[in-house]
Amino acid sequence: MGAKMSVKDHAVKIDEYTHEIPKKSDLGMNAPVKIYGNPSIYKMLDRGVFQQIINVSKLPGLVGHAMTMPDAHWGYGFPIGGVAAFDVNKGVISPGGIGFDINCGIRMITTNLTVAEVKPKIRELINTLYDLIPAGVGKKGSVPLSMQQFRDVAEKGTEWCIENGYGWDEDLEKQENNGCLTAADFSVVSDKAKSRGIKQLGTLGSGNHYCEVQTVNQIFDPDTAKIMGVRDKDQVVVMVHCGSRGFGHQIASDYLREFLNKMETKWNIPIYEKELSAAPINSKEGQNYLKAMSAAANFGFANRQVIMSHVRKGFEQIFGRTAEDMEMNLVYDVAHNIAKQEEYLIDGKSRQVIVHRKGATRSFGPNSKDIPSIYKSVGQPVILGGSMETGSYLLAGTEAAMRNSFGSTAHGSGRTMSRSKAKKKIKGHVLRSQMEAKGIYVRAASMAGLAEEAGFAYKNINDVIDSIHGADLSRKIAQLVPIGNIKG
Amino acid sequence: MVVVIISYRLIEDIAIADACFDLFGNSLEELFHAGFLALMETSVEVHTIKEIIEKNITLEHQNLEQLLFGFLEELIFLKDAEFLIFKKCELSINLIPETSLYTLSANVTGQEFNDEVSTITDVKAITFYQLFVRQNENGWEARVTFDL
Repeated sequence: MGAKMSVKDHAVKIDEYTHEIPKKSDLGMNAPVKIYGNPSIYKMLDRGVFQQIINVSKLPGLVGHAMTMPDAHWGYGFPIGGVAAFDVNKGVISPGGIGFDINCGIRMITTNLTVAEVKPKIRELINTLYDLIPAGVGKKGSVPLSMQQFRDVAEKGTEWCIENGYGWDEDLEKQENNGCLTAADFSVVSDKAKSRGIKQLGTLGSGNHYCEVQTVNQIFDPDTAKIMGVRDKDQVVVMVHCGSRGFGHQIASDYLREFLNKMETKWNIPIYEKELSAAPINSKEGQNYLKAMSAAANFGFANRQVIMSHVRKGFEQIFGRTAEDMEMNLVYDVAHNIAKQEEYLIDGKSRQVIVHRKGATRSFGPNSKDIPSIYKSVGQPVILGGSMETGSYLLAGTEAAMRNSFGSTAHGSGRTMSRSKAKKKIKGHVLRSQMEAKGIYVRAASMAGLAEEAGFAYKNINDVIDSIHGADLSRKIAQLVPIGNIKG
Repeated sequence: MVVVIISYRLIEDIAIADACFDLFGNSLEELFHAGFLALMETSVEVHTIKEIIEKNITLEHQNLEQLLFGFLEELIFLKDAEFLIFKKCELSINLIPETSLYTLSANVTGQEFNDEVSTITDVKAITFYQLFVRQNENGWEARVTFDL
């Protein structure tokens, strides 16, 4: 008798960037699975990714393929980098398909400053931003809220921020869904979640969350880059990466537990893994989660909006010019832990589906509905944050993504090394010195936390970019490299 | 001779972006205390916490997994809602025969976050991933994973 087949052995190579595990394979799947990644990425994918995406493929109402993006790694429930779409009537909604940090996401802001202007003041700038933006464990937010105001933030998202002086009118349209999921309903959010979130608006958090000052290192498509506000090599830009903080974390925990208690008994949905809890989208519980998750998503948009207003303020203090004069325009804000109702052409028919993106970014192509008019000709900006050391990318959504991946692409580099191994390999203060020698000035709330985020703990972002560009899930527009970073 | 009692162990190759721990204890109280330590030592340098504020946590549940989950979740709640972090924990866990419920009472001592507390990373949530609590020949063991 031969050796037992591993899950990976069921995968069939489709092309240089894609493998498929067919539905008919003897794994109890209800739908096929697609794994994106070039040979180098594919070789390194951990076994947990395969098992977890196969579990996803067993959920009811799945439409098309369950997928993993090239930055996929082992999570719980869905793998990080997992994408799945469920029929809006027969499908499910899964907190494990979105993640605890609901609407964790990234935004990118341009400036008209050059690296030559910013570099001499980078320490002063980063120190100022560090003072303005609460970062790390146990930090209170910068915006005191009454419960009524908190409700408004959760139900209106970015719009609340603009109305209250945290941003410009034009920021609103340069965010997925204009920074507001209209399904949000504060009344289905637990008191615990409200208590965790009310004092956290405008906080970065910790882990891999950051505010980074970067410079344009390479432009691949000058015309598209120009439309997105990236004009020259050495132009300075800023990225902000964070989510919905304790508010979203608690909402995820609350509904995950409720669904888990009812899955088998009430809805007859098998539990393949405890974190892969799900409810029928049309059930009362499923609808309530959709409303609460939307409230958390709005808090995530608002959180990044408030932080961006601090970034503008910090630049104004250091450079003595207004943010408007420095053209500190929002390029776009993307969510990479979220579920949304979207419409796709499937087998020639238009279908409404709930697309779950867990560690995956929306990548809507040219002429898609729901993208700002200025980006209609080129596709939405897609922002991929790399590790603190290796740099990030600006890309554009594609028509192929709309056909092949439910308008989805990767979200970052993807971890390959545990946090504790990274800490054993390097001390935070050594890493900080090494980064400074490379021209990256870092302020971190925790030196141990900094070491956990060392560049070597992540996949090579160039392999991720090669994979999504090669598979045409996104088109690369520009490469950005860090010159300063605030880490929680 | 110094005897070092290992009450928890990090599992390196599970959920690599997060933190998965095996917990050990001669009693349920020791086991839950190991969970308390794993959570606090993931979040902060515990030796930098002062014992200023005391909180009492009481919970009950039909099963021990949910009781452990609930206890750790309450500590995360206190971190975000009241900005509290803890150094010490005294626990009592009992099974009430009449109701078949496990009850937990914990006195935790610590302080509100300030600049003197050296932080590490934020634990966002306790997960159900591979969560178990069971008795073994030496006492009790459990596995718990924190989302970071």
